[in-house]
Amino acid sequence: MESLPNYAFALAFYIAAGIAVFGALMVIVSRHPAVSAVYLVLSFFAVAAVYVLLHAHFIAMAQVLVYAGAIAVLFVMVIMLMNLGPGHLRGAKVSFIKALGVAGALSILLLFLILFIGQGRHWVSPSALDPESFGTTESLAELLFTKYLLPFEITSVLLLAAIVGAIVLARRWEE
Amino acid sequence: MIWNIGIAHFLALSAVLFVTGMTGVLVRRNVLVIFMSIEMMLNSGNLALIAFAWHMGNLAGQVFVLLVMVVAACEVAVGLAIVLALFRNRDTVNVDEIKIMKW
Repeated sequence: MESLPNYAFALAFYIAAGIAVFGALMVIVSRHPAVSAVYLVLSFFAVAAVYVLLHAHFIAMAQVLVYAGAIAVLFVMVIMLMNLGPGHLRGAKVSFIKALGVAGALSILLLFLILFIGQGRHWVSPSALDPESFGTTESLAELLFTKYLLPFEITSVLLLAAIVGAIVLARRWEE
Repeated sequence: MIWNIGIAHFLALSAVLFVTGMTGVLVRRNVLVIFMSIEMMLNSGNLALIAFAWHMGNLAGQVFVLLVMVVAACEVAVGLAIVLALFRNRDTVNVDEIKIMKW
């Protein structure tokens, strides 16, 4: 997104990154897993926003569809199916919030120290990426169906195996 | 540095998400939250791949992210089926109580 001025790009990145990190922290801190699942959806949406900043338009759409729209929904449905009561959630000690807040803050502090005190001169924005052809559906499909056709076909077999496996595992066996 | 967003910023975000997911896997005892943290770690790996695809101008990173998303979806389906079967048999989602195979 070279058409955006620098500060607008940076502002968009910091807002999206902040929401992603906040959602991620709330996932590991919430008591009920359904609340964690909703914060996971928030984190996925924020990461999709970061993908848009990175010229990955198709991947951002795929992230919303697959991660937020299928995986997170599957989580929520399974959690609803399990019908967790307070007896099941007894292991979640709420005093972990302080410990996890400290861990989160430490990790952020540590990483920013490591990354921004290191060699700062190598961080240049990439040379002009053609916005018409980089990260669009057409260019991605052209790569996926010519050069990376074999992994694509293998993933279709993997999907079949996963579907059959999930159905077999979750069956009720009538004894 | 703060206003010139480069590859390091995106990698820092990916690292923070990864560390958060790892903390969730190690600290939480609910198997569903552990699973969600694993998904978050996969997501952070995706972010690193896309950031490098943007930095190098090579679209192969984004193709690989698509394949990683497929693998993550398959893993979630099978993993949740396992969790559901486990819950039906043991009536618990606490990983500390699922220790039949240990000595």
